Amino acid sequence: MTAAVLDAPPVTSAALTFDAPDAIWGVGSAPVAGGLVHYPLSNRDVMADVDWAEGQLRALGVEAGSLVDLVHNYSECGQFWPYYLAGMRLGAQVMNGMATPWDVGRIEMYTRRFPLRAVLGVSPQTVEGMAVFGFDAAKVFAAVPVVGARGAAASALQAMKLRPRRMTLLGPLILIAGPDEEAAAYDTAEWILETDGEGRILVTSGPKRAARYDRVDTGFRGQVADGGVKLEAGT
Amino acid sequence: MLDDASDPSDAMTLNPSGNSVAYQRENVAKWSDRPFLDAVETASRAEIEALQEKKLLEQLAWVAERSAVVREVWSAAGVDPLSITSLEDFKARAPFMDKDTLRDFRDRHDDPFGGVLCVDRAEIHNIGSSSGTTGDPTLFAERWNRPYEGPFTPREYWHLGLRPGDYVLELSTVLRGVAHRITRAAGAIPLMLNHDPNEVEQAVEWILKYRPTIFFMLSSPVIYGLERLEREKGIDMVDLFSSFKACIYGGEPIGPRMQRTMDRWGVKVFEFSSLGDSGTIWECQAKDGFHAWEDIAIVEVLEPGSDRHVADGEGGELVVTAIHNKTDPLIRYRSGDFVRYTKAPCACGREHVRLWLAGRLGDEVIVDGVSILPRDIWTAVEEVPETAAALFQIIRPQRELTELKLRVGYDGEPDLDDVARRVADQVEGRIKVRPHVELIPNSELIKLGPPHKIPRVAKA
Ligand SMILES: [Zn+2]
Repeated sequence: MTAAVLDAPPVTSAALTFDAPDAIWGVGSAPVAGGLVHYPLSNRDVMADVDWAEGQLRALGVEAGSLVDLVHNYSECGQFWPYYLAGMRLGAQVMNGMATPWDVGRIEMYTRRFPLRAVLGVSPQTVEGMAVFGFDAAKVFAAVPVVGARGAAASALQAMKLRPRRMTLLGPLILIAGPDEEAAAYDTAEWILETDGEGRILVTSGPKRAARYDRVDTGFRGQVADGGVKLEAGT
Repeated sequence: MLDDASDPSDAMTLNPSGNSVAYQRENVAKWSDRPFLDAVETASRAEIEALQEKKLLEQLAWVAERSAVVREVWSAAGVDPLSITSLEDFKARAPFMDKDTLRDFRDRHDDPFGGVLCVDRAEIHNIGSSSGTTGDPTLFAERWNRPYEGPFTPREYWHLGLRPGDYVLELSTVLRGVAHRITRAAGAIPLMLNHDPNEVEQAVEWILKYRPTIFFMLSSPVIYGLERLEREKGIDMVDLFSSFKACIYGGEPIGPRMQRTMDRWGVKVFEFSSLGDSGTIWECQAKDGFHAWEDIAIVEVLEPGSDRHVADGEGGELVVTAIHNKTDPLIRYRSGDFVRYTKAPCACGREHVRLWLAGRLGDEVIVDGVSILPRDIWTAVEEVPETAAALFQIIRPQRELTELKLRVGYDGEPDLDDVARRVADQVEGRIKVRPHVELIPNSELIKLGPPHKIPRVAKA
């Protein structure tokens, strides 16, 4: 089941003030405890997320001339699109691939043909797909300085002696934690994260965002402190 | 026109949609109640060809200086790109390139772009690629501040009825380009979901909520998913599709049974397909062929293996020259696609060339001297209820075979020997060749390739 985080936004102004900050850019979807929710992003939301993503990418060493491969499915454009624009703002070139088993050939191709700075978004399906289609994931990612892997993909790559960053789609947010970091920073200007009595991480949107998340259970447990989130293993 | 950029800095700056600020401003200025977005869409043949000649000569000067593969190919043919004086001269003397030319150049020069890149790599925003179902994927370098260089344009959506402020349901993939950029350029709002038959239930919910105008895109796997939902949940498909002015269907041809299903649902379906790696071609409201934009590309149709042009109305190999794309243009590129064409005026009011697709030359198999294309198998497989989704592959270790082997997807839990026999009967009845049929569940077959199309030909 999907639930709307905001009802269909009024669109009359979108046509005439296309690039206006409050015009709706698109409707994305986010995995939360109750399933997928769909939520609108305004132009302002996108640009705020680009600002955040730019800092994240810079911290990963992305700069002018860097090559960055973003691995995500189309329903995750709401979370990943700001990383495209942030990469471009830094002067990087962005390529993309899908977080599905059959698309691992393209990820492998990009790592073989280009000196990538980062591959971000590697999913458990990617790692499984590599095995199915006869690629050695350890070899594919060996020469890539920064690999961001989600969930079980991170531990799978660790077991191959790689040092991936741990990436998490925490509802509408992307978290990236370094290999030696327990907590990942999040954008406190845009989101409020908190935990309930049982350690569930709840997300609330900042007042300027088009979508209203009001203490929505993300499906993850952990701790939130000082602008950082530490996820409990296995959630 | 396409190349107008009023303010150079605006032309370089991307807006939140990943389009240049200047381009978006131009687009907004075009929005009106007229049926066509760009004036060039309704240009006469004479106007189109005059524009083509001008753009072609500019393009040849551009690639002569910048495209390493063009320099190599033309030099080997002994033709100087700068010596070409007209469209006619080009069609008479220009040498060809094809996928092998690019792969060969790529491997010899260790250049991932196969020598086609005409700009500094720092100017590129995005490097997309084809799905690579037939070898290493083809790369597409995109400069997002250059409108009309991507896989399609806002013209198609506008003509099919999209207007600023509308919603576009995008069940899409992340392959070449990013579809929502075009939706945004057209002033509409994308609803972004995966192109996955297992996730169509979500799409149904979004459709009922947002009532979008355009569905991008339908494919045989998605229809298969919707049919299951109709059967299992009793969804009113006629109501579901009622808000759409156009449902875009791509990836492969529509079989007769699937057409009947969509007719029953009242789907206003329009197909699109590839224009030889230089964009796409789309059906218009007249639904009488696929238009190629001739201010973006020069389209030629030649006898396969020769340089003779076929007459209007006849079929041949599609050969494309990109005249607008300045980033990674292909020049006289033999696509391997077999098409029929006409330049006669279309009922929609345009005179841009129309194409009809007959299949890919690389998909043909010869069994005991009989030429067989996937479309020849299609209807036969559709006629057997258990395999009606027509998810099948021709096993093609090489072009000439002594036995036709098919891998066919089925639904439910039928008697497999019986289904295989009935599929073989149907195929034999149509093409006089009895195939060996291997059955696998539809859900397994879908996993073998990109979600919008089954690779119709598999090596094993
Ligand atoms: Zn037409």
